Amino acid sequence: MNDVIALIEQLSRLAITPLLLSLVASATGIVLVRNWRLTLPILIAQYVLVGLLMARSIQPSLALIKLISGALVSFALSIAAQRADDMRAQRGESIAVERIRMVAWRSVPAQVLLRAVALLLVLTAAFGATTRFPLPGNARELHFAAYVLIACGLFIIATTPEALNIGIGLLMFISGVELGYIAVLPNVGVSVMIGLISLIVGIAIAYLTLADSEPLVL
Amino acid sequence: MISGSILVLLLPLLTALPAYVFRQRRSLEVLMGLLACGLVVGVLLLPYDRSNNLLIGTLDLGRPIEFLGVTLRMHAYDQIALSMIFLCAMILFALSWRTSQGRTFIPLGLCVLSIMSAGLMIRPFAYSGLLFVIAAALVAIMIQAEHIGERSTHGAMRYLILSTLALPAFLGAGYYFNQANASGLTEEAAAVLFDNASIFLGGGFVLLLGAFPLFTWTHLVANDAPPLTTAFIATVCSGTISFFYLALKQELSWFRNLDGNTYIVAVSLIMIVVGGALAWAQMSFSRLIASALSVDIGANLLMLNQHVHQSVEAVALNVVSLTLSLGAVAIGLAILRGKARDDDFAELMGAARTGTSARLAALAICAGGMSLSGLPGSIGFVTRWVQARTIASTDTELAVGLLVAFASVGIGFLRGVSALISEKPKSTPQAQSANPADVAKPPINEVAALNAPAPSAFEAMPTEAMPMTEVLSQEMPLAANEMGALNEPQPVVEPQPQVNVAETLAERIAPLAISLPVIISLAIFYFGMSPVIFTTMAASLSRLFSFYR
Repeated sequence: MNDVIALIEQLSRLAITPLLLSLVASATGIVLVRNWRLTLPILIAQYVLVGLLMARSIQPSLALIKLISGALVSFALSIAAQRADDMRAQRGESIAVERIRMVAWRSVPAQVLLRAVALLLVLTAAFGATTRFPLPGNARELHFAAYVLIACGLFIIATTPEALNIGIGLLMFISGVELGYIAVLPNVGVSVMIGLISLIVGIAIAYLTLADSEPLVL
Repeated sequence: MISGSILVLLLPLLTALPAYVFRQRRSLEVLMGLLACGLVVGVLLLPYDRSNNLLIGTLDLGRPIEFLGVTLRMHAYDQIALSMIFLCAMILFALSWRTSQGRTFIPLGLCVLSIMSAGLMIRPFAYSGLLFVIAAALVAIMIQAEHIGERSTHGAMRYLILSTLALPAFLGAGYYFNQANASGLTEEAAAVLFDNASIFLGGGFVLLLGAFPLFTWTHLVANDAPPLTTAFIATVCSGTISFFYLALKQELSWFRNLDGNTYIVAVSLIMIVVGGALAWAQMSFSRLIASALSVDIGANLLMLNQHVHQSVEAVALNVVSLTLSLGAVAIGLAILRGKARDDDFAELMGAARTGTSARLAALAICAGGMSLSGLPGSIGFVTRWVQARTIASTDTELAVGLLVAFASVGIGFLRGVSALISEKPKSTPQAQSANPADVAKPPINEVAALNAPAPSAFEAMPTEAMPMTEVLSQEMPLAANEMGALNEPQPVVEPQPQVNVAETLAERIAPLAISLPVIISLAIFYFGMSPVIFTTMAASLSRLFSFYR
């Protein structure tokens, strides 16, 4: 465990720009792609990045809580999503794997381009918020990361109808809030509680994902 | 020495496990729920100001527990608030005995009770917001229950999203509160920070209570959730949040005089107006309940922001009366939903004629609905009267508006009940194409007769609840700003000029007099041309007698 904590500490000392760029890339990936087989691995990577960013402000052992809770949540969500896909496959509906193997290139530009344009606006708004409404404290880079996560999370929540995708947006929003708060006021209790919130919200979303996968019952 | 707060948290949590194990056996499950709530209420009834010897050790209700920089402590006013919350939960659990509300209703309900109680007692208050979000995640599972299908998760997701959005508000308020309390700040700088904190906190409460007219959880949850779960959220969850609001007003002087007050009052007015405008025209019970909840949330927020003794009493009374009223409506609706595909008035037309249980369900909906609208003789009247009286002391027009909104809810329930007890239209093409709104005219006499047993069913509660609410308002003098007003520097009171009562009344009544013809004409239009109404009423009365003969 000590080795893992030491590794997190070393990684958190990396230059901030690559970390921030990776975070923006992960948020972009989750916003643009609506296939859980791609978004959930990206979400895990995003939790790692958020953990590393948090380790710059709080003890690395506390940042590890974020990593572990994020991995557990993603694991729970992937089980629920797989089960939901199994049920869809039994009904002969298209599932995530098929959509990756046989991409419907004709419909992709219409969906992705619209989201990409909207995402550009959202990222601009996040950058503008960082400069126009800076959070207290000196860690500007963490504030930008927090604003990006919050804005992208809200964007996903507002634009998707499925429980799983809304849940992913909600988890991104919670990560952003945590990152913003930790950058302003590092606090052990709040970190632990937000880790717990992520876990329980993740379980609730997994439950709702399963319910969402069934055909409508009247 | 055992802390009272630990017992309040652990008893429901420990009982939730056997309740989950026995979820297939509803009687045992309900028994577990009742046992847990009963034990907690028993603990809470012990004297607060001295140690109590129990079998397991000495219990001190007010003993604080500290860990990770947070304090968990039950104050005297928390004790009363929690007693009421657990009593209400007990009533709802008991009502779920005969109608399935999903297998997770009682186990998760107990967990939610425990977490909400912790949220009420924990300080710093930022942690309360975190705990309320955890509770909301569990409530989302309760809302979903065994309800499956595409688009079936919207209610649960909406509730979860709104509660999660309150998270930064509570954290932000906590941050500004800490900064304002830091040493070395001038009084003006601290005041600015306290203002920021109060605005954040006000925003957090508005989100937690779902107190905005559009895109809130009320309609989706009332539609998707089992009826008693909706009642649980509206009473136990929102009630705890209301008591938390009062507790903060009691403890934090800056929150008592918050700047966001005006915004919260504006929000509550919008809720009342929108809820009142929509309620009478609704064509399904779930949407009607949602509109009634909008009015109730608005009225409750108004009470939370009134600085008088009665407002605390009204908030406490509302929790109890809403539990009984909404519980009665929910139990009736749960029975009727089992008989029909959905709860549209058109779908349920004539449902009360299909058996004894359906008649009782219609009776429960009628009694509960009339109580929700504050019909004299029901427990809801007690609450609505206190609310209207409190508001009328400062703003007569607003009080009239509130009463109109309550009346609108009542009209909505009249229409629903009249659809339930009217004859089911024969399945001829003409009957199928008939507009259900035309058929569902409210027969006033039938409803009045149906409502007759309601006061006797409810009459025990006001007398039981009143002392408790009075004690709560006495325990929260600062929330009502009475002692606060004494402690704080008093503004110099200018001698008031003599008030001409006639002029003041004329001034107050003038806007009402202008709007009165509009209201009357709307009423005449609604009840369907005045010459017809008397014959309809007579026909309804005779039909009622033949129905119950």
